Amino acid sequence: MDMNESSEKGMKSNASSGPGNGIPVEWQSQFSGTFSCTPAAQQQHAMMESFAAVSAGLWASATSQNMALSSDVSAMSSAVQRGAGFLAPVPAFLPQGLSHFPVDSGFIERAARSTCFGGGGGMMGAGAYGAADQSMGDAFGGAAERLMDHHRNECNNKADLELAGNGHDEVPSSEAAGGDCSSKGSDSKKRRRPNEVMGADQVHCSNLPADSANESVHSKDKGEESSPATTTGGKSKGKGAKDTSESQKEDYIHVRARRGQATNSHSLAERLRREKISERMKLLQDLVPGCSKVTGKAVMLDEIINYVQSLQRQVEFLSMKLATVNPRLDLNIEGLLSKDLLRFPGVHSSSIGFSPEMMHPQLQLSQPGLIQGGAAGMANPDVFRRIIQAQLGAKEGSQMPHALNGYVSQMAYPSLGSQDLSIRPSQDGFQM
Amino acid sequence: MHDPRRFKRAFMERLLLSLQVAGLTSKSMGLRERRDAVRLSSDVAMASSRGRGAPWARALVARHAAERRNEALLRRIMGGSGYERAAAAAAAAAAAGRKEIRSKKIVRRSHRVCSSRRKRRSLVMATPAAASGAMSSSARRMVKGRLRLLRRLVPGAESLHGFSLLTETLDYVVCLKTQVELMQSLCKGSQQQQQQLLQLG
Repeated sequence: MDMNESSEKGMKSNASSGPGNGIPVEWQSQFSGTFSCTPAAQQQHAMMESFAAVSAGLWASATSQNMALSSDVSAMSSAVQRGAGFLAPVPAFLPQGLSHFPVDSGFIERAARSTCFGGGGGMMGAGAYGAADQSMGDAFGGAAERLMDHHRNECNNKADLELAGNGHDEVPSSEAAGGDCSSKGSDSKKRRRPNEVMGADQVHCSNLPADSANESVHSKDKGEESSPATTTGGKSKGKGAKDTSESQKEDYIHVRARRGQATNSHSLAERLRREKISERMKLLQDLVPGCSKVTGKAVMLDEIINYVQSLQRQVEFLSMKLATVNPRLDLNIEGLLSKDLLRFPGVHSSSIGFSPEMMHPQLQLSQPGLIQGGAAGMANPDVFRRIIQAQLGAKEGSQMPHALNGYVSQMAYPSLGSQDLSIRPSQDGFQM
Repeated sequence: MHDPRRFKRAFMERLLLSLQVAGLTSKSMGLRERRDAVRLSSDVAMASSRGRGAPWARALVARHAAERRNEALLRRIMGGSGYERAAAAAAAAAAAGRKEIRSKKIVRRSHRVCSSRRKRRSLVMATPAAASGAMSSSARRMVKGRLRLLRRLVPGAESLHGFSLLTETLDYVVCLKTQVELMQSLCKGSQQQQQQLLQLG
């Protein structure tokens, strides 16, 4: 997949260069990208992409020591591509990683685990942010042995939504469970999806574990009476990591009741719904900056509303600014493109200006040189330029400096009539 | 299938093109009109590159299509058929909205009647307590109020509840963010261009 090679190239070229400074934005976009990957239709693709994205980011950040390991990463990602034997390389790989950089290894492991997981972006994001805060060594140890554990276990289709919590009351428990459910359900269809939008499609399968971690980490005042029951249930299950997520055969989600919980079907359904919602809130929390310490629906909703309003106001302001900057709205597209505006985010200096906003407070990676991998993944700007010019040239060739007729025929745009000023009507028609 | 990079690229393309079109269509405009044109073209670009997967996109364009003065520009940008579709969506949304408001009023009135008949306290405490755990009523009221606000902010989310509302919000926030980023980079780019021109000429 092109992303893979380009990300590898990015890694290789940028491990030597110094760290860029737009990382948080790039990281952000990668995470939002992983959030948004919808695995429903393209499981493998999304997996790989999210994994490659994360690995690109991660590895690009590391020092040149990791060049050897990055080759392992690419080997691993090609294994993922084949979709088989994924877990096999990982355990072998991980011990090597341990010595080099304790901070990142747990993250890799989590990333590795969550790639089986399709839309694992949400989990990864959460995991990453948690990881940065907490003691990595101990998280890694626990996570590694859990990885061994469910590598041993078969990924069966039993679909118990049990918690594989492990006495680690932190994020690692959430990822372990997330990993469990992911390793099992890599190609299970998503049922009961409200819509396929935000790629937290696997959310429901990570809901419970995430929520349990949530409950144990923050004290979300959802008034979950299951919270104490959950942790006890989790602890009692211990290291026998169970596979979570729905069965591939059934059309509905099997939920095993936790200890001390009513097994009423209504309350189960309600619990599921509540956990779906809390998972969404968690995603939103990661998205909206400055929401990390906030707990509780009301306050978070408040933050979200403020953020949406501020973004909308920014759009208004920027449109005013654009209107003043170009008095006649005649953008010189050629010139603009030559500036490589499209190398967003993080590489272009303008984006650095707003990176502090985008920066997550929790995201304190020690090696900030993440971006370049992502930027290298961008398509060739020349192609882009050609597309734009071809379209505009079909409308009025006089404005463009070169003769675009050659381009037009090359691009084979069938019906851009000279009268027709609409943009790509034949292509997409701005279809919605 | 919401690939952020592809989305961004598509968005940027459409943005540039639609801005170009806007510039052509509106030769002489006051600042406010120009700003509205820019805003419109950027919204349309965002909505169309988002695709059919999100209802807010359709609602956003429908919102713009509902205003008469945007018609020419919209037609240019989206093509005749696209505009027709947007206008139809706008009309449908308006009608549905009115119906919904009416039915909600009826439901609310009946609730009030019911609860005044029975013991108010038992009803109110029984169902919410069962449903959402130990949340105090004031907190729940706050949450409801904020959800209402959110519904007003996010386009096309008038009739969504709970989970789907949050999903829409999530999507919308991500797209708004990219919109802001792209527009900022455009601004900077054209500013630099102008400075260069000034320096040279």
